[in-house]
Amino acid sequence: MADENNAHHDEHHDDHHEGNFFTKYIFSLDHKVIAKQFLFTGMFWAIIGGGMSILFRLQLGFPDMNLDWLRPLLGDWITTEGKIDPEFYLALVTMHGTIMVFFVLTAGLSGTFSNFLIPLQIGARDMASGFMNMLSYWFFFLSGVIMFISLFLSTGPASGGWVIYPPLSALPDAMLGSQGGMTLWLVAMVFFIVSSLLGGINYVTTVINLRTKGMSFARLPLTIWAFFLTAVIGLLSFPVLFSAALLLVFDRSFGTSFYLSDIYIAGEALPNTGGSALLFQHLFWFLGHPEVYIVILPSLGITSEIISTNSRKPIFGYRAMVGSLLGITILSFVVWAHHMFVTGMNPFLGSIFMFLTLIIAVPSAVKVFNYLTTLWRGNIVFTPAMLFSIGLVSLFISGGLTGIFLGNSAIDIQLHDTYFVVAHFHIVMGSASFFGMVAGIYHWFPKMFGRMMDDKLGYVHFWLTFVGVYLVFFPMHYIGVAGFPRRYYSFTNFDAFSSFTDLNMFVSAAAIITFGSQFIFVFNFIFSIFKGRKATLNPWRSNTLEWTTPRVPGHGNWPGEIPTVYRWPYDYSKPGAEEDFIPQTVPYSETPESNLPHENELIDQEEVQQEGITVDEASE
Amino acid sequence: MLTFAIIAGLVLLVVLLLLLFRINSLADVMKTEAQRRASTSNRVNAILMMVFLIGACALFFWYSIARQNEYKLPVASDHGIVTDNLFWISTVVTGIVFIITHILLFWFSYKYQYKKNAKAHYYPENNKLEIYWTVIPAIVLTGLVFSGWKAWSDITDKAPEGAEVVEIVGQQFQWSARYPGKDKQLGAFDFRKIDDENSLGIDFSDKSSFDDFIPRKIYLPVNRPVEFKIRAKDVLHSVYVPHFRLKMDAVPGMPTRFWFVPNKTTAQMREDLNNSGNPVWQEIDPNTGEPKWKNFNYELACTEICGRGHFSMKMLIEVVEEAEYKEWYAQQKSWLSTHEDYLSKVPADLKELAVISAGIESDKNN
Amino acid sequence: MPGESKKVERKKKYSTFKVIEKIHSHKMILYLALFGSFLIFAFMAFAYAVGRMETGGVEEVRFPKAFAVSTVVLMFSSYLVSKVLPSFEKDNLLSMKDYLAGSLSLTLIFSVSQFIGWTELRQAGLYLSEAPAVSFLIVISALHLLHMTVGLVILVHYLLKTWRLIQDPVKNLVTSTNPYEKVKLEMFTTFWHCMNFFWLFIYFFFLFNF
Repeated sequence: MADENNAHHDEHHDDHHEGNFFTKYIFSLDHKVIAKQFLFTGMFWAIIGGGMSILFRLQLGFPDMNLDWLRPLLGDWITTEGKIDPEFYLALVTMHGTIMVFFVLTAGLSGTFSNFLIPLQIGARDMASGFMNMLSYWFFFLSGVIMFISLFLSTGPASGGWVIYPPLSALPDAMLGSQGGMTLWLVAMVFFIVSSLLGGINYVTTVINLRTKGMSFARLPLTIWAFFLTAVIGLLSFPVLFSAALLLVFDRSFGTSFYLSDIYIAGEALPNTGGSALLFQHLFWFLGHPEVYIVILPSLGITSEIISTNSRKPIFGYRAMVGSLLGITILSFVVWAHHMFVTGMNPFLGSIFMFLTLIIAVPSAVKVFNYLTTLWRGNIVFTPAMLFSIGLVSLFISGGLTGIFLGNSAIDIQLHDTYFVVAHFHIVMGSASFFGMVAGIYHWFPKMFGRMMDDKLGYVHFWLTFVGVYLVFFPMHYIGVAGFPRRYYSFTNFDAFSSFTDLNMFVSAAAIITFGSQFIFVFNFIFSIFKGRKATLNPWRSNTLEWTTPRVPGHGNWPGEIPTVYRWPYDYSKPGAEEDFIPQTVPYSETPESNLPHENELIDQEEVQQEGITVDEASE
Repeated sequence: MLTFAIIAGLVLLVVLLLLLFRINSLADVMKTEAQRRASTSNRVNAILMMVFLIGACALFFWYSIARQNEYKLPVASDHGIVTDNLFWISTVVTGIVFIITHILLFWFSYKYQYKKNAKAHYYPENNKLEIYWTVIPAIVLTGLVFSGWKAWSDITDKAPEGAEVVEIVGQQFQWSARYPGKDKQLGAFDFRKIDDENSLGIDFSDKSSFDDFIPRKIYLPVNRPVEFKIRAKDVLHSVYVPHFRLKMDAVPGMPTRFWFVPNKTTAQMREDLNNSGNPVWQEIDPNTGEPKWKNFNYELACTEICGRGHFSMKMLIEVVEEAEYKEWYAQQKSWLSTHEDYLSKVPADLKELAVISAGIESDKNN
Repeated sequence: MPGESKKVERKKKYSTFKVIEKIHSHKMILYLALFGSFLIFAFMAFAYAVGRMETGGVEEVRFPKAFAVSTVVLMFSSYLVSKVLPSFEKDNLLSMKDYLAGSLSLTLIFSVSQFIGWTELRQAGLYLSEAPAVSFLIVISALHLLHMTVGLVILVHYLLKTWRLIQDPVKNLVTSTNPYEKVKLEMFTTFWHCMNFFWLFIYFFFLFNF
């Protein structure tokens, strides 16, 4: 398709095949190495972020427990009574959110799989700009370093919630975390935004311009569709977060009043007037809501691919799947204010956003039904990746359905900022995306490291995680319906919130076990890199292009010419075919026994295609 | 010694597991690809899918029914009854979808597990089906949205004439309430006028402010519309009264409002809880030594993260009969009468009026 | 795949999408990046407009005159930059150097003029922290100048490069026959025009809304 470009691109870029240790593993321009860098960093942050959640779950589940034994780790954030300091509790909640949403599920997920799979699945030698790709990782790394440093400030890291609503985040007097911690948070996020934009621009360009011969948009695997649209969403929304953060920086440091107005704090009235605290919320959620889809779309793409492969069936309704991805992409930009029903926003706007929000439920529902139909009459192989994908579908249903409550502004009055919300987004966005990420690691591990992960450990990991995640987050619905507000350090002050101590304890215990069982995965992952069984070339008998590369693809991915694509990626169990899969590189002329009538007509064009003249498709 | 034994035991267990894992993974190398697909593990996983489905459903129904006394929150406002209804309608609708889709998901996974000689059914597309399951959810959702929208526009509509107005002010980390006094007009405020005493920044150049009073507890009349006028002094807060199904952010520089009709007095609610047959309310509260229903109170909480003391911003609300409310209202002393120094902030030409409206006794006045 | 049957009749059509696919990937990167930057400006302008609707903005304020000068200067520089690529293609390095030098000096004048504009605001008593409207104007124009600084660096780079090529005919031959050099220059020209367009957008937006 865009092969001239590809050749073109090779000329001025791939003149550094063999480098030293630094250019090969650290400042590498190879998309596969960069993907692994994102993966390792993402896993590191997942452990940090998950560990934080265990700390605050200890406080919530066992409020009377003596936590003095944490003093070596947390120092003076453990009070003299052996409790977590209330302000540090908020810091933990904030950093858990920030780390998980941005560092793990955005950079760790998109960064890993977009980088790894886009060139491999579309048939490109590398990203459009390897240099920008490298910069993208190192900006992310820098952002992470800054965020990490902020954890050790004496005043603590940012603590105003991951949404950092001003005035709380703008006024150093309002809480300790709004001092140095908030500054570092903003600096880190600016670098993170730069990283995301560099990455996203690269992904979009690569998908548009560097597809191999025959790889029309209608033949793209759903993973690529998902990564492509994720990058588009990121490109449209991250600049807005940048604006929001920049204005907040000015409010904090240069005395402007973008978000501040009529404030009396710490014994004096501030000079700021004319600002609007709501403006920040609008700008933030204009990013924030699409961000939710940035997190979940790649996972949906990954599971589409895995479910199809392991059901040995084509994904049901490919065009509907693409359509719903597109629908979600577009609609994700017009629903942001459903996070703001009770913020004092004009109630008429509230009703508009309620309508728009419930429209977005439709494409999500279509996706679920299509997954179910793909499983129907399949021949399902339960690889760990497949198990996690089925888990994702289950979580996506459970969490998606509670979204219908929260998108309804009348019901949201009571449920807003309660544990119901916590349950909702942890299931649909947190756990579901996490499951997609883990499924992706299990599935593409053979391509990443040339070895297989251990299946049995994978099964144990899945069942512990799946059951664990439900045991952690499902009970939160009840706690939320009972009206418990989120971000509460303790519930003992209110009679209305005095019940459910047993359930909270149960949730915390389940959280500890679930978090602990992730180390089975970590062990399996690290062990298999070095000692895993050697992978075959196409261990899952999959159709997509990445399995046509050598076991461990080198720089440039294919030793010879990039293969040409002749068919869509989901020809599994085609009637008449001998094997139950036909890779994308097999021309229709070689499979007369299984061709559908209209596919026979395409045989003539294939010869033309081979000569280098590309075939146009009905896709644009 | 015991700790040592436990640690040693754990270490042994881990070693054993690692050994098993290693043996297993070495034996695994011998298997062919086809054996791997049709393995026992595949069957076990398929069976576990069904076990999970049945177990999780049982747990879900059991807990939802057995513990409903705890998670169902009593409701005490007119609109709360409407939104609660909407909630339960949504619960039923989504609950059905939830159960059906999950049965399909796990049943399919179990039924269509890998079999050596089976072949999957090539079934890439069916436009009719796609249209069905686009249109049907759309219709169901539209139904839900419309009922929600109607409720929402009623709730957010202007407060009816004659609603009792109460100003609720959030600050780190407490709530304050201000009543308009006899003239039923809340006086103006200005954040620049806030000081240690005048913590709400009442502007005494406005004559409506003279008779305003600031009680320690919020009193509300039953069955009459009440409008909360909400503002914040420092950072965002959010007014949340769970039993009234009421929530609205308090924003510095941007006053917000929420009106509602409390429909049960505190006393009546206590009685109702006592008679509800819900054992939770008969439990003895360890702090008071009395059954829980006896000390039931409406509580005002904060639901927007506001800093260190976010979890402790509590104010009590007492809903009383109309007559009792009137009596209480009449007894309240205006803020100005208890802080006479602030008379100096009143413009000279309004001083006389201030003294009368605030109810300051004349002999005290110079 | 259903739908593929249609493609026979479409085979020869060179659609818009096809054209997009043929764009050099580095150009595509630039377009997307510029689009992203534009969004930053657009959303700040949007935030400003919404805020103004709510609070009414600043009354009786003179929009800095120097910004008008900046606008004119920038238009001229755009004209000069548009001449750079044709000179390169005609292998006329001397005129290329002149055009580059011309736009460099105009850009410097632009920067000075921006500073004069801010001084004008300050003299009118409108400090950065005075009111959100003023803050928006200053922050956005400063952000734009930051973008221009990037352009300035590239401009200087090209100026030095051209000057070196003039000294060294062999290098010149290598450079002028490399197709990627042309792509790079095209990208530079696009970037420049875009920055000017951003400024025009900002200028007229605030002129009519301040």
